[in-house]
Amino acid sequence: MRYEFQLPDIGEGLTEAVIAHWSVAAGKTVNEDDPLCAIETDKALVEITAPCTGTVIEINGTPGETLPVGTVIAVFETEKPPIGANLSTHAAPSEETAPAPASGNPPRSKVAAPGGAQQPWSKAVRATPATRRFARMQGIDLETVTGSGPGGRVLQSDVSRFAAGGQAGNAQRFTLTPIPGEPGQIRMPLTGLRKAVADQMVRSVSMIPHAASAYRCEAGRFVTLRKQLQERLGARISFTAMIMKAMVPALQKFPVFNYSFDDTTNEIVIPPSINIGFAAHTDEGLIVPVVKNCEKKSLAEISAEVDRFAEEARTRKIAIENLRGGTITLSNVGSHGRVETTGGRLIINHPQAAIIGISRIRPFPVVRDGQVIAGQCLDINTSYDHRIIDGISANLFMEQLVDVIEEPGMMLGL
Amino acid sequence: MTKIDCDLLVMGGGPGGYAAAFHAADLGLKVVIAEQRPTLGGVCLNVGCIPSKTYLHQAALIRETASAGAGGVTFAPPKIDIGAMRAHKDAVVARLVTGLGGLAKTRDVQVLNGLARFSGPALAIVTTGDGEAEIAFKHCIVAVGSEPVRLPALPDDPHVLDSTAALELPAASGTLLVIGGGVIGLEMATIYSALGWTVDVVELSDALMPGADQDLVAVWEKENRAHLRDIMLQTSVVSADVASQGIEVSFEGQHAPDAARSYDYVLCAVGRRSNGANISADAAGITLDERGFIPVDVQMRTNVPGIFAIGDVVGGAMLAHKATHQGHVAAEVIAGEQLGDTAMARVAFDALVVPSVAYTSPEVAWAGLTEAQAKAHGRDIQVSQFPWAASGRALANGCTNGFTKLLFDAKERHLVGGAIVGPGAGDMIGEIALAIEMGCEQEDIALTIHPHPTLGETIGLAAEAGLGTCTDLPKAKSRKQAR
Repeated sequence: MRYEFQLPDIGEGLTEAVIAHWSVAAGKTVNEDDPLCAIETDKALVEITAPCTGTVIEINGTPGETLPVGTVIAVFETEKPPIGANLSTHAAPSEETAPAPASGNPPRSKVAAPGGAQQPWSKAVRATPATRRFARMQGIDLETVTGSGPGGRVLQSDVSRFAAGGQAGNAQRFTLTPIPGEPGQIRMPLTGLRKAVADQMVRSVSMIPHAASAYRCEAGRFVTLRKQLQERLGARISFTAMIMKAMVPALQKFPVFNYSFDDTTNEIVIPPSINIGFAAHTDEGLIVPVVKNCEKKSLAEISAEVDRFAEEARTRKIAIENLRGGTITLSNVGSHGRVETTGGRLIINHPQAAIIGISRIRPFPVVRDGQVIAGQCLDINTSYDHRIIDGISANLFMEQLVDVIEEPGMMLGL
Repeated sequence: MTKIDCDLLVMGGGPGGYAAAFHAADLGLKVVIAEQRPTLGGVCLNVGCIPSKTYLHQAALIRETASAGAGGVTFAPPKIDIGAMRAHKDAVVARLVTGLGGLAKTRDVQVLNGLARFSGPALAIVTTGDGEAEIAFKHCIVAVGSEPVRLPALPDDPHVLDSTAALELPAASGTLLVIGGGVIGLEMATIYSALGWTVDVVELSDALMPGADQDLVAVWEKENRAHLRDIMLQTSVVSADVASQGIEVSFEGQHAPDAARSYDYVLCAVGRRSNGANISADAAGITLDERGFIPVDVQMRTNVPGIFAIGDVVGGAMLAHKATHQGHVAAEVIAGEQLGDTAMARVAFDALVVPSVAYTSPEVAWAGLTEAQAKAHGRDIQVSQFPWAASGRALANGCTNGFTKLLFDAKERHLVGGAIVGPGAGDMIGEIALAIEMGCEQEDIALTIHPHPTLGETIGLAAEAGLGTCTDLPKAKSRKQAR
């Protein structure tokens, strides 16, 4: 029995994925749950396993190719197709067959029934006829555009923004000109994670009016406390986890830093918990795992989760759900390289309202009781959504955070 | 042989072909139309939609005056002069097609009256009264339409009519058998029965107007039982022989009469078939499917670069309005390519719905998904309907049998289909088509103020009925319908 296996939707809202590699070739026999291929989604590298035991008749999708969810990526000959499977017969599809593309024709768009009429029972992207036409003229597949209109309708402005390079963002106010080609020049399309990062950055920068401020604090006691805790708990405790733990009381006192902003409805969204994302570096690009419910977790729990997620992110095995739901982000740029970061503008992780950045702790001259001494200093900075957070609020929040870092005992009073 | 060079050759001057040609000319192309008939307009204007509507309007008038007595206005029986009716119909057609000829002239679209056939992938021969012309084209649109299917069992006799011949009203009265219970057959049955003919309808399948919501068809059938002698479903014609008095027909099947029947005329209205076989498609290398249709993609391209096809010849709904829209799409893609407008060259035919109308009495109109299709394809829908018995205007107009039915996506609440039966249904279905194309939700339609008292108001009321906000229906009933 022939079974066509479609690229599954492995995460909420996933519309396309890039084939990373194949673990099988056509002609091979596989057992159910054997590795089939790996796909790269907006954030993670996910292994897809064989849906049934049988022989792989054909595979579709070369590594690096972006395919929409629902594309048939493998065809099996199997005795036991998965329950509820869509079986295909060898009979040629009748009503929806496209004529063979003639050479020299421009690339074909999706072909519907004869005469191009849509089947009334098929689900279509919700967009008005004028928007559908506009999207065609821009060469944009409406299915790839996120609609900001009522009920998810795709509006012409959504298509314009998409055409201008960002999924969201303010209307383009300038024309873009291409970089001229020249011999020896190399061009690579943005795909997979790199594209996801790029889209997210454009979204963040174009939607959020950023304001930023930077602070320096003494972290000597914080460093000492970390040593003591590690000895006492017999486990590694990361600075990242300690900063997260220190952020919790500050976020509880100034919850606006934990808010998000829904640009589609112009609403402030107050989440029920504190979910801190942390920026993890991978060779393919930035990934932001999220430690959920930090207000309910012990330092040891947070630290263990940070370490585990960081490793999973590095190997691209992290589960999609651990990349979603962040309410604020922590960027520990100071933990990489020999040069020392002293600040810089952080980009907020849209639709969150704020991001906190920390540098490496190192000695700096500080003035204490009129004397210049070498203090263990930590530079800490923030970017925040100035639509909903005022400069004064930002100062108050950061003061609270700095207080706890300089004197961790302050936690007792919070 | 005359040689003509053009940017675009349009084969066929029907509602698809002339629309494509005129639009392409407006966009700046040099266009030639090859049309077999002496006038533009195709089947629709010359021997289809328009002449039949002329008669159907008169049929509705006859029916309405006949039933007006109940309201206190009694008309004398109509005096029917079929010669004058024919002349009136011809005048209507002549006025329209003359107008089209004028529109072609103002656009400098050259019309060659003759049959066109391909002689190569960029060449065609048109045989006109003055001889042959060779057309070298950059692009071509095949819009040669369709013709009525003729059953091989029927004799070649002037008493056996197709839809074109039926529009010539061969006699003032008599008996007529309509073979085929589709829209065209029932429209003809409506005309002939209103003129006083004795009409039977025989249909092979188990339903009239295949494709339409059968709840609506049931209303049509109930009203028309009185005007037609027999509606024989699941019945076929076994033989039809020329006899001294007309045509002798024997039947078999579910509702076949016991004995053969004799009819003055037999109308064959079992469908239309593509004219794709008449254009020497091979010479250009165009693929035809086994039924003679030309497969095309959403931009109306055939398999041969530069050759497009639209309308009846590509299959799907064989309706003038679909052809017109496809014609505009093809013209834009072609003009976009020739003029270097890449954006325009990307347009496509992606209408969500092509509305269908039977211009019978009462009219039946539908657009989008039907309840039966939703069921067959597992689409979760909510049906909201409004019976015209609860409409003041329908009561005043004496058409309380009608109803309006809307189908909404059960989850996302937007309109996915709609159907209306009753006078003016065809004029009202456009609102439903618009609402589907615009993605209107149930509440959008319910909150749009429809004028009172109108029949069109029933569209708003049907949406309200589904929401449970309709105050023109009993409360319990509207709640039940909302489920």
